[in-house]
Amino acid sequence: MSNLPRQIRLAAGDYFMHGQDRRMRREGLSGNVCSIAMRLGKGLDVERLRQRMAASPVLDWISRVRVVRWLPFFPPLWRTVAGPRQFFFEHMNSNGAWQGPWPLPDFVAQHELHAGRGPGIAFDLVRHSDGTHHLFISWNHVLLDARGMELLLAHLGAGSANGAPAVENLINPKQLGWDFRGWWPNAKMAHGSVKWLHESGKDPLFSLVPPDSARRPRRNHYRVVSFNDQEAARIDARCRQFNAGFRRSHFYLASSLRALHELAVRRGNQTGAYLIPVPHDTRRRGSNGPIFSNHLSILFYRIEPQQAGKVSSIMAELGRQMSDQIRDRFPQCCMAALDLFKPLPLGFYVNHLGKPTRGKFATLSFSDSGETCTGMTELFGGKILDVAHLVPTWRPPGLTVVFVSFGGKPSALLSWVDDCVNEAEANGFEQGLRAALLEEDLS
Amino acid sequence: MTPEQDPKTIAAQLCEFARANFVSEGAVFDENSSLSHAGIDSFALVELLLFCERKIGVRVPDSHLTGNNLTSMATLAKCIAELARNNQPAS
Repeated sequence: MSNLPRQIRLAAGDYFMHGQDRRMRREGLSGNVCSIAMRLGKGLDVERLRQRMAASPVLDWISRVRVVRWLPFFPPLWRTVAGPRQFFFEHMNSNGAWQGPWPLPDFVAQHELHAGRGPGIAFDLVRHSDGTHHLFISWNHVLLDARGMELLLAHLGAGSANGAPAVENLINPKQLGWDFRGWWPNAKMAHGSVKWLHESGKDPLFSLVPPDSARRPRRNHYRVVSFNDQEAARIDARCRQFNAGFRRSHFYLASSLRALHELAVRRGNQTGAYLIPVPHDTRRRGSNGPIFSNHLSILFYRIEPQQAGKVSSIMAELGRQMSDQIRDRFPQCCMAALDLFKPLPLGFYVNHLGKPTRGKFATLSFSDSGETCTGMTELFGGKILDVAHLVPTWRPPGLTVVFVSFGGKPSALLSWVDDCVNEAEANGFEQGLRAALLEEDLS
Repeated sequence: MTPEQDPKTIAAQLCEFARANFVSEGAVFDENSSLSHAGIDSFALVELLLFCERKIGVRVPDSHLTGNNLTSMATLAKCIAELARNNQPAS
């Protein structure tokens, strides 16, 4: 059917996500598993969807690929196994009781999506009695990042249309073969980022994670903060006010950070700085691939509490730090460090990453996924009515904010771990976020 | 270094940098292409501005990063050329 390779290298971002998956399972959470919940209108042609999924070499390959390591201290690899296991499930919801997107139905939440044991991806189609559907796509973050899932959706939805992501867009050719030669240049580049993290970790950092780290079952909670048309227009106006047309994600991050600062102050934080790693998609703009693997680099922002009370002052600081880091090639240095540490056994790797910050790792996990389902209005005849992204939060930091836009209207996903943020604090955070996005600076 | 002052030359340099570094291969992208439609985000914008500092010798202050100036490479180049004429070399 296709000449896809049996084995490719894990990207640095993949092993990082694998480490987070391990850390989450160790903390009693259900793994680094993301979900998309799509509400589809009447008219979905289920048979066509089923055929398309069965015929896609891209999906076949992704469902059969597993993380393996041949020898200790050898770099881990992606390798395909012979036979696929089932990854497409259909369910009936005749009474229409469940409307989602959160909490996820048990049959979605209980999938064991492990990158080593596989399959790391599952599709659940729920048929409602009124003819509408919900399609849940769940996947281990080790396999795909958010942009990769968007490309996979475009691949499935567009069929063989010209210009749609296709099998030749599945993997990055750079991940073919071995790369021992890259280690020494990586070691030189990695030094700067590791040194910065160690220095940053010496000064006090605010963390939402309680000092008691006894192992016990914990839960991720999700909340989608939606904005109506007037509020979306207001957010656009606020972006213009801050001259943030191309820096919209800075405005979102600054607003999230101001809300977090209010929470931190209520907890008595006076000196702890906020450390926020922000992933950045390294694919070329407008490209159709690679679909598979995590293609990211990281910017690290450190905001002192004195700067965190006002959106405008946070934005100024973000702009300054971003320019400095890009000038110093800091994102590339971070990825070089992650690439260098790939041969470490997973448990050792996870502990090693937490060392510079003495286990605090980050204060907040933030990303701006941009527009979702770009150019897609329907999927196999079913109009796409709503899309929700459910991204689990890691612990630490215990709180994640993901901005996503559908049909030009933004929404924010809040995700938190129950022992890091309580319900009242989550309510306060949501109010603070809305105020920062929609109202004038108060101070 | 004497900053480049010709908007067309600057636009050509900016387009070349964008094509080499972040615009998808095969994508139609020229000096009149919309920057937002080409997927230019904050990260790419900063890379572009640092390129201006390094190669063209002009620092673009935040106050000049308006919607009008960031419509296309041509409008950005015009803004950079004006800054160069007003003698604002990289500091």
